[in-house]
Amino acid sequence: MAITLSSASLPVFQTALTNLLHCLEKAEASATARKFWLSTRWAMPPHGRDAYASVPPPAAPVVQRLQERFRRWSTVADDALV
Amino acid sequence: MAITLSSASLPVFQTALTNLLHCLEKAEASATARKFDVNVLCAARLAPDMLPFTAQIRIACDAAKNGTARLAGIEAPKFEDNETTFPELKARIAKTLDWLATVPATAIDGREAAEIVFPVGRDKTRSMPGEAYLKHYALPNMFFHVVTAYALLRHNGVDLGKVDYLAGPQGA
Repeated sequence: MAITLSSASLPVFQTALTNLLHCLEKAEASATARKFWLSTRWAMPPHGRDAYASVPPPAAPVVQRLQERFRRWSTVADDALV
Repeated sequence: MAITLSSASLPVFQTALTNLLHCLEKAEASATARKFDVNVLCAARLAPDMLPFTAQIRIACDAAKNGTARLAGIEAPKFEDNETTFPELKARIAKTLDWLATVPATAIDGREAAEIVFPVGRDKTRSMPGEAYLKHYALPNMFFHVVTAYALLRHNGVDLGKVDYLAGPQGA
C-alpha cells in the first residue's frame, strides 16, 4: 500500500486540528468551572500586542468560531492535493 | 517520486532531533552569557503535573527510536534514563541520531499495513497499521515532546525562535 501526498497530509492536519479543538473545548469547560471568562486575548490581535485593549468582545465564543473555521477548511477535496 | 514509509519517518525524526540538539546548544550559550548553570533548566516544568525538561528530551528521543524500531520490526537499543546534565542530554540525542542512521530504509518500506502494537500508559497497549501509527502517533508524540522542550527553554529566556525549531543550525 503506497503512501500518497494526500494521505500523508490531510488526515494529519485534520487529526491535529480536531485534537486542538478538543483542547480548546476542555479549556472552555475549565474556565466555566473556575468561573472566569475566556478572553479575546486568546485570539491573535490584528496589530501586535498593543492592540489587545482595542479588540472587541467576540460575536461568538472563540471555540465556536474556530469550529466554524475548521468545518470550512475540512471540506477541501482529497484529490486537490494529489 | 513516491512517498515511502521510510522517507516519511526517518528524515523527519532526524531533522527534529537535530534541531532539538541545536536548541540545547543555544540554551548552553545563553546560560553562559547570563552567568548561570545551564543544568538548572533540567528540572524546569511548564506545569506542576508535567514532566521536567530532562524527561521531555528522553521521551522525544525514545519516541523517535522506538517509533522507528516498531515501524521496521526490529529491536530498539535500550537507553538508561540517567541523564542529569545538558552534556548528557545532548549525548542522548546524539546516540539516538547515530542509531537512526543505522536503520535501513528497506526494513521500514512495505510495512505500511503491518500491525504495530505499542504501549499506551503503564499497562495498556494499542495497535494500528504502520502508516497510521507513524502519522497519528509516532510523529505527533515526538513533536509534542520536542515542542514542550522548546517552550521550556523559551520560557526560561533562551533566545530561541521558530526558525531554530524548524531549521536548527541551518536557520541561524
